[in-house]
Amino acid sequence: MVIKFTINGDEMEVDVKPNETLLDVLRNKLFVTGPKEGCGNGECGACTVIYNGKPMNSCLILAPEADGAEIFTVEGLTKDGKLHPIQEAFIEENAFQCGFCTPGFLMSAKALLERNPNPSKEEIVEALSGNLCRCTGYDTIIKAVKKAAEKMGARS
Amino acid sequence: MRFKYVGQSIPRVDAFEKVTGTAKYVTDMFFPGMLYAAVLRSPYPHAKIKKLDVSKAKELKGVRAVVTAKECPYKQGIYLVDRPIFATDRVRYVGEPVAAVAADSLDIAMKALDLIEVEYEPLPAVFDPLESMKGEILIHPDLASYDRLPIYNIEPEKNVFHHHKTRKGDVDKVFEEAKERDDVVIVEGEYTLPQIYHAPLEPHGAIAFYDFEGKLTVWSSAQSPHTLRHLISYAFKIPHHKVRVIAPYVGGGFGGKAGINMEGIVIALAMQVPGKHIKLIYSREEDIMATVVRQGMYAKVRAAVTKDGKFLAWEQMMAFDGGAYAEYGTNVVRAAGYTTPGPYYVPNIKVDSYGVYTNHLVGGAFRGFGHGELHWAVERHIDKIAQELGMDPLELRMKNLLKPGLTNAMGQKMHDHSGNVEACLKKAAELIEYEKPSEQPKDPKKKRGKGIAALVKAPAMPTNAASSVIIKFHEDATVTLQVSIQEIGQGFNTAIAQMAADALHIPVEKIKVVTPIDTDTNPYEWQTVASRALWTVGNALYRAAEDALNQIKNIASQVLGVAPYNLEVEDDRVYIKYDPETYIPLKDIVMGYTYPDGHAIGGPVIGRGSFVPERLTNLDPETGQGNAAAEWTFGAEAAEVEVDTETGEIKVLKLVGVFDAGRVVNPMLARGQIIGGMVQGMGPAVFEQITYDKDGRPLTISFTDYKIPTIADIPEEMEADFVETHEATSAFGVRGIAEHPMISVPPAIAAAIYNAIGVNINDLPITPDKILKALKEKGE
Amino acid sequence: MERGEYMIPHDFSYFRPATLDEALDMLSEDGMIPIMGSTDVVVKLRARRLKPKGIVDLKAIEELHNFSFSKENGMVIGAAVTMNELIEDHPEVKENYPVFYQAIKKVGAYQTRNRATVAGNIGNSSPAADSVPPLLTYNAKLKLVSKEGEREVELKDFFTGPGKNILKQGEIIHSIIVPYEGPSIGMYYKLSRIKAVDLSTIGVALTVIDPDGKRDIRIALASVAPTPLRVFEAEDFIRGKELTPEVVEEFAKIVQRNTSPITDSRGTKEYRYEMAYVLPKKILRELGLYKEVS
Ligand SMILES: Cc1cc2nc3c(=O)[nH]c(=O)nc-3n(C[C@H](O)[C@H](O)[C@H](O)COP(=O)(O)OP(=O)(O)OC[C@H]3O[C@@H](n4cnc5c(N)ncnc54)[C@H](O)[C@@H]3O)c2cc1C
Ligand code: FES
Ligand code: FES
Repeated sequence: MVIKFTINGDEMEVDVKPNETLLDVLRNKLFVTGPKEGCGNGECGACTVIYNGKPMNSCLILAPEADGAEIFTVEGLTKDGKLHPIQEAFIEENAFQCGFCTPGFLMSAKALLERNPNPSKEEIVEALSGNLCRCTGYDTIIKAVKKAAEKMGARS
Repeated sequence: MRFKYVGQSIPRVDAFEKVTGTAKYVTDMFFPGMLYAAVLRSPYPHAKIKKLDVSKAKELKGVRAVVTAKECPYKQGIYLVDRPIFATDRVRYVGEPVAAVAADSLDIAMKALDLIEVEYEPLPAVFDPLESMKGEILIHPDLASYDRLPIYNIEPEKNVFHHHKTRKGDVDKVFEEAKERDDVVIVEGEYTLPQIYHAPLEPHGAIAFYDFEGKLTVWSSAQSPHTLRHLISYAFKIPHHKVRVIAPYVGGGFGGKAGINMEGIVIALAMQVPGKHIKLIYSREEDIMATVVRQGMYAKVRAAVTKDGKFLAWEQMMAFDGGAYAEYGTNVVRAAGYTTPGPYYVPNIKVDSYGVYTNHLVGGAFRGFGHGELHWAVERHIDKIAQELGMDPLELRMKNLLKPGLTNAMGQKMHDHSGNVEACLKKAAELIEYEKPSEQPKDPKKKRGKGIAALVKAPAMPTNAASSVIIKFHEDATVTLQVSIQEIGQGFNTAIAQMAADALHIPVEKIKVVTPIDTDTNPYEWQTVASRALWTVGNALYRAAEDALNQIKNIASQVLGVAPYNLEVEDDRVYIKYDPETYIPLKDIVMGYTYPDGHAIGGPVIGRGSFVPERLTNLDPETGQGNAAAEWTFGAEAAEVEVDTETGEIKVLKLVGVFDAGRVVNPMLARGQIIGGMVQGMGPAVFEQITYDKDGRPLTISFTDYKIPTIADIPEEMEADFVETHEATSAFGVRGIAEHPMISVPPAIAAAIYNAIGVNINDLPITPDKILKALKEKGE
Repeated sequence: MERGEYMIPHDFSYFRPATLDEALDMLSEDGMIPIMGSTDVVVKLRARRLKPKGIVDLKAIEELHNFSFSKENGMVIGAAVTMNELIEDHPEVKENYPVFYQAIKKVGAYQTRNRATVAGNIGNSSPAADSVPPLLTYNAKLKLVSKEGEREVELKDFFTGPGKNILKQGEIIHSIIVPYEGPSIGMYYKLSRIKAVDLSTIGVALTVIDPDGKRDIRIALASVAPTPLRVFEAEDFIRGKELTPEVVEEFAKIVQRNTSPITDSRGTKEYRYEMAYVLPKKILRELGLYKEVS
């Protein structure tokens, strides 16, 4: 079946099967490979996209459901070649190593800062607990989200 | 050398790619007409294959190739060639590949698997290494005939794929005499840990392409592209120059992506359909079941100690649960063997370290490489000795440290430059405020305590593990650096760029480290393992930089008419040392110099450097004496925990790690290694484990069942610090720190638990039910 | 020929009806299953533990998104309301059903809760379902509908075994009805191997309705029996009694006696059994309802 949605503002039309997930379609049909598959079971968060304004595991969404959806991925973060403050903060705080989890973390962090521009440590932990990282030990990720909040506050 | 960039926290050179989603991993690669592979796996831990019929699968529309051991009868193995790519007559673990299919889509490939008919005859299986050593069930009846490196000592009738022996001094004599001495105590103990899983966020993946003239290209999430090439060449009997391995970014390795893994499966398929790319990305389930895990271990320790706390003799037996195939396990067992008893001096040492086959998942390399295992036993045992002597455990450690002038278990003498474990322990003690007892919470059911542990690890590698570096200058005097250490997250590309900038005296911005690694173009590198990269590649880099600088100076010397040794390169120019105003821009030299009349001299500058560890030897097979270690990294870790005595829940409040890094190249990235490693060490300390049902089927084969720490699990406080004792075997004074932070977190946590509630847990992981059981036994 | 890489090796059809009637029509056919957030269903599809002929996505049905609360009629949660909507958009939940609120906050991760529904949690019928023990203590009911009509059942009568319930083919949970019986306090104590995104080793919901008045203590547990378990016997025992150490001790023992846990990768049966005794006491103590003599 043919579905339509937008990815990072661009309209797309794509033929999908019910047994494909949104993650399958993004990665393997549209080659939007920012979102990663770390488990396919909703456990790791590497596939997190912002779906109609909310962070969700794209591996748990059956593709046909995405008809009409607005989807935002890590590819949409940079504007005119300039990094988003969250990306800057992740770099400055060394919030990643291998980088495989990073696209998912950036999506969860962006969604958090949009609904809560000044989150506490507990709120950051709650918002990011669905994103696994085996490399960093997470502490720099918490710092990066705090720093991003400051940067975004200062800019708006 | 003067350090301008080394020592600075510059941001990662791969940062932009990684935050924009443009960093490519194997899974992100697509080729026109690519086929997708799926693998049929054994449901039994040990069984004979009585019948295997793939004919129906071959007929399914969209299926392009099916392979089994019939088409691909090859075996692989890094030190001992024991692992068939596809099971032949028998399967030895749940998850072992039996057949594979390549089809137009993954879903067709998976449907084809259902059409393959296999009949198994289950065989009795063995899951415990001690049980297995009885040899009642032989997992590899033909072990004696397998190819192997001669330094590995098999005992086929005991299912043992390596038996390492250390015999230093005379342990038996000390124990015998101790019976007569009332100033000596003998302390015995047993310690275990289960298999655990690496859990890199990127599962293993590979793409293979075989062309019509027999050239093979493999894209792989490989930690060690050259060793992978070598092992492919060996297994499939293709000459090295016809095998090309390309390794893009790797999404975490931790040892699990070293050597050869699942690549053979896609290669076998590709060879069936030349001209087609075949892609196989493991699902999380397959990644847990069918790559490698960390071995389980049983250890038995006996120590003779004087009542004032001097270690006289140390005897340690370790039986590693190596799973169905030896993999890196051979060398894990050896490294654990020769490093025991860790960072302590003991005059008499006897170690027997056995790698034992079982019908569990295959054990392999894992961050720490046997050292997490050996230190669990050693550090726990030291705590036990301290308890028996009524001595503070830190004080007992301090009395027995492996200091300059003393010899380790292999008989190697420690030098002033070998690292300072005492300083590490002192700093760790300061950071955890060891002298100050934990402040107890108001809730009387909750108890807090602190613990500390030390560690040492040298790179566990062959005596000739080599590295090489090529430095290419470009027209504008920018530089590309070709090295074949894989960027797996550790930050190697950033650190080596900093080191290259200092070695070449040019700005770091002018240096690019070439990615992805391509064995057709990149120079040889043994492997991205063993925390050796900055040390070994640093030495090769130093020579390559010298080589390049000499070429530059030679050309400039002709142009400026001064001797090369009177020239210096700095930033964008080469100048005369005693007349710095007279210089030539580097860009006018690095492609060769062209005189105003048009004639040119020199030519493009290409620096070349290689390195092989100096003065290493094999160990004596009977005594374990020799030079297996090139350099050592010492460290100390400490923990503070809170235990809920009602539920047994453990909260790790604080972790600190201090390591003697020689010289810290990038403090920000080094700290990242320590913190990340400590959290990775915390998981297996308190909950991580692979569990099996009673029939030997693994239960924890998804992230639903195999848990790793989340952001909600990390301690409130984590601190990393360094000691910097210049490493004399390194041109840059550096040594590795990447594996070490994982090693002694579990014993530090166990010690903190003892400090909090007075019970010893000697079997990992320290789960709430073990805490409660121990409290009950203690009578609380 | 289909090309590509997708992980569910099983063909089925997908429907997204806009009205309840259409949906019920489709679901009346054998092999058709409903989904809400699909957080359980997709996992099972991948693992081939579920091979439906067709999937009927109920999220486009307006009326299933309804939420209402009044003291007279209690709380009515439409089947399509996500857990995060309950947590973030409806302050009535936290205010009037604090134990339920605590429990759904502990379900999965933030991303999971953006999709997961209480109806799905109940429909999945896992003994570990976190939303269920508190709902049991609040005497929740379910409105079930099918082509044949509708019925209301008590949540406590809904489950028949692990993954099993009384739903007939074509019948769905329309909404969850939670009576309001007065102010309540309590605690959902979830023990798990890690602090977030883990199923429970054991979950205990202890709810005190009208703590300053009639003080009605209710208790229900997850992951200690084939279905979520409310322990009426213990509630009957403690009703009206002063909370002395002896009474609380006996209460905890009754709770424990009613459990029949098993060993799995999340915990041993011995530990679960022990905790079924420890946690009720601990919760009462932490709620400040009684003091242990030490
Ligand atoms: C990463 C992760 C973590 C999780 N953590 C937890 C946890 O901590 N605690 C916990 O309890 N659960 C957990 N779950 C399980 C799951 O998220 C919950 O059970 C959730 O509430 C299911 O809701 P859903 O809307 O996604 O259900 P679906 O997946 O859409 O459906 C679940 C089942 O209910 C049926 N169903 C759906 N809607 C209806 C309806 N209206 N009427 C009748 N039957 C229906 C479906 O057919 C299916 O059998 C987790 C899942 C994931 C992926
Ligand atoms: S891939 Fe979706 S959560 Fe892991
Ligand atoms: S950076 Fe490697 S998993 Fe997070």
